[in-house]
Amino acid sequence: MGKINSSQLAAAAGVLLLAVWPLIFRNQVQFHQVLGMTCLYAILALAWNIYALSGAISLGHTAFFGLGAYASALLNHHYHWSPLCTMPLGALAAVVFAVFWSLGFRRLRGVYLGLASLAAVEIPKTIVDNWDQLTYGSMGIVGLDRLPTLTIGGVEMDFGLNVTAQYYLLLGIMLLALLLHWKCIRSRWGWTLRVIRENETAAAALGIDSNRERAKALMLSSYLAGIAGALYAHIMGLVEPALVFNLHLSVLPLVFSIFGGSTMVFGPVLGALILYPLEQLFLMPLFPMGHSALYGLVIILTIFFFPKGIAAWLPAPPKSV
Amino acid sequence: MWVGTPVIFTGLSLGSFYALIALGFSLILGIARAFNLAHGEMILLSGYLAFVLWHYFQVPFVFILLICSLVLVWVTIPLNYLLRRLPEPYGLNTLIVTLGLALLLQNLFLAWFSADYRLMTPAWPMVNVPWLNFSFPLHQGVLIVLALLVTGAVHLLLQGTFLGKALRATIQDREAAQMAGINVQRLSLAAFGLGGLLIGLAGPLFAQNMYLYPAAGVEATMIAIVVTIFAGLGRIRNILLGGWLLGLTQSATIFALGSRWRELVSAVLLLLLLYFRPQGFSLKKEG
Amino acid sequence: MAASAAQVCLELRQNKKFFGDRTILRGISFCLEVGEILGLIGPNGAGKTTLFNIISGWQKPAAGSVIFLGQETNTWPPERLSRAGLARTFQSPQIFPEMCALENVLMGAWLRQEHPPLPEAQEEAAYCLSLVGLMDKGQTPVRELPLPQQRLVELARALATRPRLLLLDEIAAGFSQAALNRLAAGLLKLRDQGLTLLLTDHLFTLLEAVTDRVLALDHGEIIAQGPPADLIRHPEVISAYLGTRYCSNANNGGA
Repeated sequence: MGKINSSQLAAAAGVLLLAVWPLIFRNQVQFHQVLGMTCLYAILALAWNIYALSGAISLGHTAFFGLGAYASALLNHHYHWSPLCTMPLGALAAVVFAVFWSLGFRRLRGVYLGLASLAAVEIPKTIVDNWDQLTYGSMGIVGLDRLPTLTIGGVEMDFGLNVTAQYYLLLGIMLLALLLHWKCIRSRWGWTLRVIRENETAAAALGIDSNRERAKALMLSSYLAGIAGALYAHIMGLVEPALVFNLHLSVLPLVFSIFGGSTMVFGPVLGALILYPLEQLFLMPLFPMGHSALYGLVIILTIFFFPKGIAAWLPAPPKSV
Repeated sequence: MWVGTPVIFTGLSLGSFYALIALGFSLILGIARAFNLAHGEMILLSGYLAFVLWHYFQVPFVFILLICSLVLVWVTIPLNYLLRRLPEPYGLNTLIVTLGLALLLQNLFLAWFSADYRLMTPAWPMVNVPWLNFSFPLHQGVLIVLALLVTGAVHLLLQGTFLGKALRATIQDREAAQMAGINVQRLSLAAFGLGGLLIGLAGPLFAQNMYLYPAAGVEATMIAIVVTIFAGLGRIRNILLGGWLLGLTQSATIFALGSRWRELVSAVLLLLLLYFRPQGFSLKKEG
Repeated sequence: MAASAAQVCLELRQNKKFFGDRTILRGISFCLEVGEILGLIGPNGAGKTTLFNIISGWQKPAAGSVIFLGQETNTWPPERLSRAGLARTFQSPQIFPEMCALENVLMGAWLRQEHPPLPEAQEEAAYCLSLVGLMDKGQTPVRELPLPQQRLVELARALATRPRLLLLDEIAAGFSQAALNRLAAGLLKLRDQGLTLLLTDHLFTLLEAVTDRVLALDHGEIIAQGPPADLIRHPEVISAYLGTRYCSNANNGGA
């Protein structure tokens, strides 16, 4: 087991680069902020992809993101609990929605599942938008507690206001999500998902209950997406229906994952790391309006020219099975 | 005046508009098997074009309809050639690619027209119906007449002509049609052409009856999907029926609950339709 | 449980199936004993595949019952039946297209209910692939294999799940005579290890070589049954089935 191969080396180098980046570009606040958000959207992309590993293309992950954000925000606003406690609890709201999703959509596949997921977003969105007493409707909730300040190993880290500390927090959570994603590919259960993705009939002939395994994948996926949403709420300090239930948030993880390589462990992260900074740091100054056109263009080109994503161009890791 | 009259009238007029929106989507899906998620954005494109023609050049409405229809044909035909090159799985890939196209168009609208809401408001007179003690703006009435005319024309095209026969055969069973010697590729070109014409027609009406803003197309796409699934592919009369039903449901919902619930209506209807017909648009039963 | 009951692997009682106003199966009953190899013949549209689907849970019978290893399984979904020890192959092979042949078989061994450790599953997968004679194709992506070899991969994968009963739907279509002989020998060896087999084929060659007993199906009914050598001389079978034999022989290249 002690052998180290080239792809593990590349991964270690990549993580190291991500860790020292902010130290090289000191005092570049915007740069640190963008990198932090890159990690956040990479978490969302990893979440989306865990579901996609079972062969399901979702166009509705903003529902989980928004529910996580709102549930955490509501707990924080009404009960004044710390974000450390509201975020993991709030993300459970996304899992509850995932349970209904799995039950309601169990007979849907492919295109129809995509269409249904697109429409499903309207339900939590409209409820949040109209339940004025609880959610303040389309006004949203402002003044949420920021991420707390913690002392770790003698170093005081203000995750709420210091963008560099925030970046390291988001990087850490992203790496945890990556670990989970890795487990969802390289494990017995990961191969179960792959079997379902490649051929559901054959999967059933091997005794695999596709609906159950896919539902499990969605639970994990929705929880992670809910965590991303909750983080977003406390980083911004506010939630609004139009902000967290937004088609853009369903499309971003899809573009990142497919562009990066949806069947690869690092694919979704790679996609986020390339595209999001490109959009925010280079295109935004050039085109203040309409810079997100990049994602539309990228997904079209990806499907036509390299449908397996750019990770497929990397040297293949040795077979683990 | 009975309070239901304006609700029903608005519902019918809205529903007629929805049928017009869905026609192009349904034809392209039925014949070319392409899920065009950029459908709404293309209607917006035509709508913005109509707005420019009306606002800056004061072109009369009839000519606007004509110009927009012709221009949009030249948008959908290249799309046909583009989508034809997609790898398998074809349906899902058309969905993802047109989603990308939708995003691209939305951002172009944002860059060109900003996020402002725009409405084309030509001076249509009010029409009075004395025996109902009810008056309505003429452009709402135009929608109903236009929807009847256009669906009638498409229906006649499908039922009465040789081309229509081939189109219907292709909708029902693409493989069998191909084996019977029908040139499916050329028909899909025809479908995209015709679809473009209908999308172009829907644009100016959209600009007149709903607000134009970059993200407005998503709802139009959703409406097209709902009406198409409700109707089943190739059932032109059902499209009109589905449009009316959706329009009336929305109009009644707005009347009872307020306009904020309107978007939920089409989403819930779509979910219900898919729940009971998981095979979606397909006319064939599974297994 | 009585000794005689334990000997029964699969029993069908009065199974019926309709499609619209057409009757596909009109009351099929038969019994399959442990270690028996039963063949099923019949012209296209006789109901063979429907019967297979009913036994393996892909379709539900309109009436009647299916009893597998002493349990009524009418309402069981396919995955439950397969966990209970029923494996099958499909007329158009159902493979995992992005995996290589060995990985396909490994999925059968590794993902089965007992969750064997990976090295053990790998060993077993290699063994099953060698049983069907495809060891040299182990690293080839299955979608690049010709259809007959895809069927063999599917067979190996089914064997890797360690089934009690194996259903083979037209497995030999497109096989050369040599491949057919190899397959027949392999199936007989499996039976000696205690496997029960039910197979269809609309060619008689394979059935003749391996089956103990053959059921002839036509228009959803069993019209005759007996050892394959007797059945081939049965007048009803000849009129219903062997008439099409020569047609299907002629069409075989395209099938």
